[in-house]
Formats: sequence, C-alpha cells, structure tokens
Amino acid sequence: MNICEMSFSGLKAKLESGELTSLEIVRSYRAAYEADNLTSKPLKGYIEMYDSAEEAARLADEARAAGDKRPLLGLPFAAKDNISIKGKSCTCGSRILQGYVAPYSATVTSRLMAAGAIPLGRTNMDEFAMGSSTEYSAYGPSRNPVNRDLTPGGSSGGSAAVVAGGQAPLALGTETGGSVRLPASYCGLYGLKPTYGTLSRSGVVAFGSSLDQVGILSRSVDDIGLALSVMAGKDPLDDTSADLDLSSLARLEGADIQGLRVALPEEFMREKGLDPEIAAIFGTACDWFRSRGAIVETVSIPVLEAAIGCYYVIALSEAASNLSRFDGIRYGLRKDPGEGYDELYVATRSDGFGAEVKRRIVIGNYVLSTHFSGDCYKKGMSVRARIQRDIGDVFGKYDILLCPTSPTVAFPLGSKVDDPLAMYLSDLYTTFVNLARIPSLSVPMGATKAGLPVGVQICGPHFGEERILKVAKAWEASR
Amino acid sequence: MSDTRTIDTAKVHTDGDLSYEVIIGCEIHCELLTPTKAFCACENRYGGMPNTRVCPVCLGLPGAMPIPSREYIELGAIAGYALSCGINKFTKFDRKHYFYPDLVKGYQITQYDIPLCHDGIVMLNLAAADEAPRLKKVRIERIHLEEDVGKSLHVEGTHSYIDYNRSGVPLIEIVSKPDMSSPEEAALFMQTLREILRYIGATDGNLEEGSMRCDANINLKIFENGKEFRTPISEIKNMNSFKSIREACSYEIKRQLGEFRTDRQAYTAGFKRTLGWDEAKGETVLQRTKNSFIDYRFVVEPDIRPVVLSDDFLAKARAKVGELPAEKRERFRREFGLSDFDVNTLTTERELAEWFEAAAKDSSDPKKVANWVLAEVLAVLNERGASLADLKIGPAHIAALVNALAKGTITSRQAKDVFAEMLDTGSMPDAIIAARGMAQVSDEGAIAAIVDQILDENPAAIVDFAKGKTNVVGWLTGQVMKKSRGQANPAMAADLVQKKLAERR
Repeated sequence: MNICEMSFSGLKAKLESGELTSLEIVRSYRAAYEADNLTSKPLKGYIEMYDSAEEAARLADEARAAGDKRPLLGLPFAAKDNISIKGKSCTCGSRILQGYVAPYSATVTSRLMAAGAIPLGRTNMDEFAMGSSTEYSAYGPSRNPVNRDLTPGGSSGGSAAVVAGGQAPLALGTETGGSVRLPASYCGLYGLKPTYGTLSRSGVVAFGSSLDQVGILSRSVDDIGLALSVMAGKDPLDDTSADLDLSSLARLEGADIQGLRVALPEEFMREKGLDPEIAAIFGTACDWFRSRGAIVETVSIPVLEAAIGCYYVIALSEAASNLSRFDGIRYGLRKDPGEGYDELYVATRSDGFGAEVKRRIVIGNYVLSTHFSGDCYKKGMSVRARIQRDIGDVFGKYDILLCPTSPTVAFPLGSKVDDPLAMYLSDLYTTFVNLARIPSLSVPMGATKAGLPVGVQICGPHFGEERILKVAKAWEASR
Repeated sequence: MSDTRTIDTAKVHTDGDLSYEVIIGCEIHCELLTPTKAFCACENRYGGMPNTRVCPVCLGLPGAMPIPSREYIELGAIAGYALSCGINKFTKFDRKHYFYPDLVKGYQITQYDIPLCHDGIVMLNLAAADEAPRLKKVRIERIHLEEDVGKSLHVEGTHSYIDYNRSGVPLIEIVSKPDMSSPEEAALFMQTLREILRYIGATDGNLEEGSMRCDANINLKIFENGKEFRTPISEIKNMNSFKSIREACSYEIKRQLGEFRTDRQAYTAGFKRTLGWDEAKGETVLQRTKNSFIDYRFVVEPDIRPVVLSDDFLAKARAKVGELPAEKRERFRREFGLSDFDVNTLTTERELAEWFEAAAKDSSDPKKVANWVLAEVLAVLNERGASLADLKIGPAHIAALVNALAKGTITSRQAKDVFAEMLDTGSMPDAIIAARGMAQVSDEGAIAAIVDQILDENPAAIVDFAKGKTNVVGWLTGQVMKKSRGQANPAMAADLVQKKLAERR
C-alpha cells in the first residue's frame, strides 16, 4: 500500500479500520517531501512543511484510541500560503508579508482542524494569487509532477503539485478567476471552485473579494465532498457566507445521467486558441454524457466574450483596494528611508511587491480613478450583472454547463512569464464562473498524446455543488 | 413643524466698501453609542490603555472581514428619523482610499452613493433662553455611516505612536446644506444636533473626547458695484467646540474679505481650500488646496452584503426616536404652563427633563416643582459638579416636598431644611417631617392658646396696638411662631393675633 498515492477518503477508511495510523501517514508525506527535495528538479510545492504535524498526528492517534470519532481525525491536508492558520506564517508568496505570523485561523482551516484534520504545510502560489503558473511567487516556481519542466498552473500551483506529487492527500487553494481549476487541470486532479458564499473567506487573504472563494484539490470526488461537508455553513465572521448545510456531501452517490440536460457554450468551442487535442478529449467527454442518455446541446452565450475583460476590470479594482493595507506600518516588511510616511510607503511597497502585483495594483487604481478612467469600474459592474443574468438563464434550461477548463495544457516554465497578456488568457474559460458566482468542478478527463492531463469543468447553478459532484462521481465510477 | 414658522436669516453685512452674505454648510462626525465597534466585537468605549481594544478586524489584518453591527445601522436610522430624514431601505457600504498610518486597511469603510439617510431638517432656535422660539430651518443633505480611524501621537524626534482603540468606532457623518448665514448659526447647528443626538441616545456628545467633530464649509457672496462675486470655499476641519466653530468661521470671513480685496480671488468649481483651526493662535491654517487633490477611488465594499432594511426594522427604529427636545418644550409649555426660560432650561438635557416631568406628574403644583428643580436642585448639581444620578433623592422626593408645602404641612423655611436633610440622607420628606415633629400646626384652638399666652406676657404690646402701632402685629406673630417652634401655620397665627388684639382693645 503506497500511502502517498491514496486519496483523502481512502486514508480515512484505513485510519478508521486501524490499518494505518496518522503518524505513519504524516511520516510518509514527510519522507516523500524530503526525498523529492534532494532530486535535481524538486516540486517545490511547499513553502514550508510544518514540523508540528507529527506531534499532531501522535495526538490524533491517541485520541482515536480513546474513542474520538471526529470525521477527519488524523487526516493531513495542505493549505495555500494565503489561508491563515494561527501561529503559522502566512505570506501569500510575497516579500511584503515576510515575517507575518497569523494570530488567528481562517474559518476553513479551523473547521478542518476542529474535525480532526492536521495541517501539513503551506503551499506555494503566485504572489497574492495573481498568476497562472506560480512563477510570480517570491519563492520561485513549483514544478508539475507530470513533467517537471512544466508549470503546475496557478495560482494554487503549489497545492496542485503536492497533491499530484504524493506529498499531501488533499489541499486547499483559492480562486479569483480559475486559480484552483487551472492547476487541477494541468496536474490531473479534481479541483472545485464552490459557489460564492459556500466557504467562509474569513482569514483568507483577499485578492478580488467579490470573486474569491476557497477551493479544494484532490485525487477523488469523495474527498471534495468530505472536505466540503465540514467546512461549509454560515460563518459569523464572513457577512457574505451562505447559511447552508452540506453535511450530506460526506457520502456521495453517482448521479443518474439519463435525461441530464447539458449545455455546451458555443463561444468557447470557436476559440482559436483551443488546443485541438483538448477539443477532441472534450468531444469524447460529451459523447460519454450522450451515451448515458444525457441531452447535450450547444448554447450561445454571447456575453461570455466579455468575461475576461470584465473579470480583469473588477478583480484588479478590488485587488488594488485590498492590497492597500500592506503599508509597512503594522506587520510584514518595512522599508523606511526616514523621510516620512509617503517615502516609507513607496519604499516598502516598491520593494515588497513583485512586478506582476505592482502591474495589477496600477491597473486597478487606474480603473477606480474616475479622474483617469471615467466610469470604467461601473461599466465592469454592469457587464458582470449581465453575465450573471445570462448564465442564470442557462441554468433555467440546463442542469449543468460543460466546457474545457483551459484552452491549453500545462506550459513550460518560463514560456509566458514575460508575456502578461498570454498569461491572462490561461483564464479564458474560467473567469465567467467567478463572475457569475456559480460552482464549477474541474474533472481530469484524459491526457494528450504527450501524456499531459486535460481537465473539463462541470459547472452548476448557485449552490449546485451536490449536483456537480454527483455527476462527476458517476463519471469517475465509469473509469 | 411647518415652514411658515421659520425665518430667513440671510443678511447682507457691510465691511467698508464691500457688502456681503455669509454661506456656511457643516459636516458633523458623531461617534455612536453602540456596545461594540462598527464591524467587529471589540468594545466601543473611549480611552483606556492604547491598543487594548483591538482585534484582527479593526486592525485590518490580512484576511479579516467586517461584519456590520445591527445596532450601528439601527442607531443610524434612529438618528435619521430624529432629523426628519428619509431612510434608504436599500443601502450599501463603500471603500474610500487613502494612506495614513492610523488608517489600518488603506481605506475607510463608508457610504458613498447610497447613504442610509437623506433629506432631513433641523430647526435652530435663534431666540434667547427667555424668549419665545424663533426657528430657522437647516436642511440636512444626507447622513451616512462610516468607521472612525486610529489616533496618531506625534512626539518630538523620530517616532510616532498610534492607538488603534478608536479604529472601527462607529460614526455617522451628517452633511447639511449650506443654509447657515453666520458663525453663530453654525455653532448653534452643532449644538442643536448634539442636543437631539444625545436625547435619542445616539451619542454621549462628549466634545472634549472628540465624540462630535465639525467641518465647516464657508464662503462669501460679495456685492460690488451691482455685481455679485463668490469667494472660494474653505473647509475648516475637525473643530470640536462651539467656540472654535464661531471663532474659526469669524476669522475665515475676515480672511476671505481681505483676500478678495487684495487678490480678488473668486469661486471656481472644484477649487477648495482645506484649513485647520489653530485655537492657540486664533487663526486658520492652510492644509491643502486643490493642487494636492485626493482621488479616493471609491469602490463598493465587497465584504459586506448590500443592506436591505425591513419595514419592521424601520418601524422599530422610528418608535425608538421618542420625544425630541422641541416637542418636549412645546408640551411642557402647554401641560405645565411654564415660562420660556423655565422650559428651555429644563429641557436642555433629556435626563433633567424626564426627572422634572416625573416629579411634576406626582405633584399638585408643577410650577412649584419647576422652581424647586431650577433653583435648588440645579444649584446643588452645579455646586457639587454632580449629575442627577449621583443624588440620593429622586423626583418623588421633590414631588412630596412640594405637596407638603402646598398642603401647608410645612412652611417654606422648613421646606429648605427638609430639602437639605433629604439630600444628605435620601429619606422621604414625610418621614423627615414626622421625625423632626415639624408638621405645621393648623389647629385653631392650639394656636389661639399660644396667642393668648403671648398677649398675656406682653401687655405693653397691647397698649401700643391700641395707640395705633400696627407693626406690633408682626412682632407678636413672630413670638407665636417662636413659641410653637415654627410649627404654627404662620397665616393662621397672624390672623389670630389680629383678632385677639382687637378683642382686648
């Protein structure tokens, strides 16, 4: 039994049957991590693996022996470097948060830990979750376990790398415009972006607050249901969190595909940038649905053409606002030339933020300034309302919406890092989901001839997590 | 209150060769008395050890999210109703960006285009305390909710200290139309708002602690050779006393007149000076002109859902407004027949007004109660620097005292003694009167017996009276009172002395 290749829910069963201890599990991941670090091209999925995990595992094993039956007792997980865990560093892959130790835990991590789960480490990311490759991390890029010369995707690339690379059974990532689904797709994992409001954002460092959601990366559909079942639900610390009970997702049945109404957005299939191999794999996915009695139809959603522009207007406006607090006064990096506040801010922010983050702050502030850009932000908001409405209309007629997660497979490290526009287009198929606030699960649907994973996303209506997970489960069961 | 009762105070002044009108609009920041800060569970209280009432939210730590307090929105709506505003049932929060060390997030949570309250009215009473009201209407443009920032303390040398206890304290900003026509009216506006907001329990109105701060926007309309000019608007920031508002505005009027004479500087849209008031020097100090224009880059606050207020919520808020000072004055005048001066003095503070009213309702003579409260009770408070709550007596004591006087149980002189004792001990007047055996004797037979005794002891007085020296009546009455240890009903004693003297003549 190779622990490192098991799923989160698989390990749960082995812990509960007594075949494995938590300590064995944690030590296996530690050993895998340390061995990998000695290779010539290490994954570098973790920024830090916690020494505290072994002690926590020992305590979990003792608790189990004493009759503790918490659902995630002794199961380790990794979390992206922008999700707070009390007493641990939380740097968002940025120099500006150097030395910042979170004095409180995010609701998602505290709920996982309350259910008995053990934080294993914090994972690499593009600085402040801005990027699609982890190359914008102040700690340098992570590698794709499938092919180490390729990016694992981003911004939650570290989370994808550790799960796909056998260094953690499950990882939390965050999404603003595809940052969980894209790396899941590039690394051959399941990656869920839940409905906006399903998971609390409290303690998760904000990028674009009206778009941000915590996501889950895993090797199986059940793992995602299990993690959601303990993390979801109203949080008094997040006004935008939804009051819902997802505890039933701890056990999932495959959906009946017969009669399932599936929409395929025509606009995405026309895209010139779509890799023909991905188009072909997507075609076989559609065939799979048809062969099981689903009604698969192409729909036209013209407003999707505006999604990526609209996304950048809103996401960068909110990012410029959210990143204002990093001023060197209270925590993190401070560079003080000793000439006054303005100089302190300029020095700290110039040195603390990387080029991509600065680019986005400048664009965001430009958009927000009526002085410079007129009503650009307002226009972005009204386009978004239109996207929400038109996507809502699709779910009036269809149960799920199906499309590729990315127009391309994982690309070589270094190939787009100096071309921000090419990098932005990695989000071509993902941002409308965040704008519309709907849930979407990237499912590993196959691989190219070169063996690179291809993901297809199953999108559902608001709070349709259960539906899309069950559909994915049916697909998973048929493999 | 109908507009017909209001007066127009726009007045043309002259200064040498120039005639001008003064135009002032005010923005008042007022800290609200909610149990917690606006967006977190930290206690909302003034002062204390620096940085002891802080949490991830009010420190703006990464990942922390604001949760609007229900009491905050409710108190804002109550204030809106008290100032006759309309309340927006759909409202939201926005972010206003600027950098300053005491601003933890690089933005302040405020309300930009949809304020909680809009289009209200405040009536200023321009009359003196002993005059009938003369009311002037000032329109309120809007009231919005926003959070306060921390406090910076700059010390000599290289360091500054910041106290974030105030960070996230709930504020309302009340913005008036430019309806004030003099520095006095601007100060009166703040004073009137303070009175109303204290009445409804929205704020403690503590000016020294900065619970209310006023920014005044002021400019002049100058008439010269049949032409009309306007001077550029000056905004004088952060004044926290009525005196500084009066003095700063007066100073600014003179300064603008002088500037107009020398530079003929005239109003242009968008040009605005920001000034501070240096209380010690007695002059305004330039802080900023349009050249250092700040672009606040407003954005919707995405961490707080839009606020939709239910009819039920609003009905409850409206019901909590209670009686406002002007209404109370009107009613006291009507119900208790009190003078303008008495009414105005009794109603400046809600606590005093309610105290008085409780006593008046229990008593047969509200006017007497008013006299006691205004003369005796307030004197004690002033002397001791105390508040009503500190006293051992309550409204029931004053009511009982006034009732005992009215029934003739005690004399006015005795009443003062009783008052002094009840202040000391908190005993009810009836108990004191009984314990001291003070009850006034109104039994005619008993007093007559004393009168007879006194007349027997003073035959010379009877002779004097017979000779026409009527002043002996007073002296003899005094002797009767003395003999009765002050308990005889003085009027009855005087009557009996007259009567018995006449009999013995």
